[in-house]
Amino acid sequence: MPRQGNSELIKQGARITKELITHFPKSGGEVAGLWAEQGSGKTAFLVTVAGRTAYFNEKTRRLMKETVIWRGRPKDNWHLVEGKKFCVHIHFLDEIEFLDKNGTPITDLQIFKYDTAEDIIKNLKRGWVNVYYEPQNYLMDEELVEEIRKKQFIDTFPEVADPIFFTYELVYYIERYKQQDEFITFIIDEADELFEANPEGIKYHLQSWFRKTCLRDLRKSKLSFILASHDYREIDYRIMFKLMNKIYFPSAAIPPARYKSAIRKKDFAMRLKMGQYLIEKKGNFGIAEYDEINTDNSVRAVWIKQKMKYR
Amino acid sequence: MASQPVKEMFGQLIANYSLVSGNYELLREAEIYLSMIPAMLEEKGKLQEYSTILSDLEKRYDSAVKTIDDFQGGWKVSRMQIRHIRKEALKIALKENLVVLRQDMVSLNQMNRILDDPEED
Repeated sequence: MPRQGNSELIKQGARITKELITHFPKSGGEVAGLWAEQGSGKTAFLVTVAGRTAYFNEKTRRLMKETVIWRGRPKDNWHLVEGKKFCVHIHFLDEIEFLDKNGTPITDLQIFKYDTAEDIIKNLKRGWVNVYYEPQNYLMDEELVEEIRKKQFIDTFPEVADPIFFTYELVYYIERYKQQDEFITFIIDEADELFEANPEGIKYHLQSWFRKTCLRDLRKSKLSFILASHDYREIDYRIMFKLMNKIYFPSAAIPPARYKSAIRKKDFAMRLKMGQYLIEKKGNFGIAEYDEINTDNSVRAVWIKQKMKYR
Repeated sequence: MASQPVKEMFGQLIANYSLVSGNYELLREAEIYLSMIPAMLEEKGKLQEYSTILSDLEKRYDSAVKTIDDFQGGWKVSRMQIRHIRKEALKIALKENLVVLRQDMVSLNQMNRILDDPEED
């Protein structure tokens, strides 16, 4: 029997959602994990959040559009973000063509080329959705490699790293070099690629280093993180403890109490309808909703090399 | 006049009991109706109008309390009395607009709609 009435759930849902997308200098950034089964509206939610994230500017005493950094994927929906402009950052050695639903190249995109993560920081458009595509051949920054080796007590480090770790480098440098009062939200879809459960070899060390060095101080650094995946069990358990907000979509599994979940009824998310979500923060939870978006209309990123190969 | 939060709170209290099946829990639900509705009607200046119905509901509540522990079948009569109280009380509450039974869910799309552009500083 639910002891908490619906109106209380609705109130809490609205409050926690508002806190997730509106950042104040005192409260800092938010780290959120969201879980949804395939096709239950995860991408549509991320698109809506990207368009609505805001921060409070103390000088103007107004809510401003917050800069969003979106990890681009081969098939993505960042072009559906409403209310914010978007630009794309790609590595200077990569040639990517963006195709719309019908296979026609999209030409009116603002594209910036980068060599290192610092180039992205220089070209970052404030108040925009900045989509970045990881380099195809990724050599990790030497300074960073040295730092990781020291912190993790490892001797060897692969010469060519998995491109997904470019995100680590980007977060590391943004945390160091961004302006003190600037708020940035990272949106990472399919986060299990980055924070894989039970990682092996060097990946174990990288994830451990990232948790210790970057994730720990995200809130204070005014960086927000929204990590989306299909199930909480796909995410590294060490990362799970750093999540301040947990969002569940219809039929998502709710983690046990040891992962700091206050929801005792583990089938709660089963009762949600499409377009609704359950949101949890610091022992409180509630429900809210968002408008559904037709995500069939996706942008396809085609790497020219690949294109030649499959022609 | 009852304020919106009071109406919501009343709705929430009722919602908490919407799925209960225990005899004592049903009695408690009836107590909520019989304590909140007269108070809210008095505030509205309409207590006199409903005094006959309310005194009938009070009598039914008293008889339900007496027979709720009667395992010879009296508890069944009690439950019927309580159901009658629920029906009549809800009728008054809805007619006089004393309760908010359902609150519309808040949409993420309604939040932060008007934002300033930092590039234009």
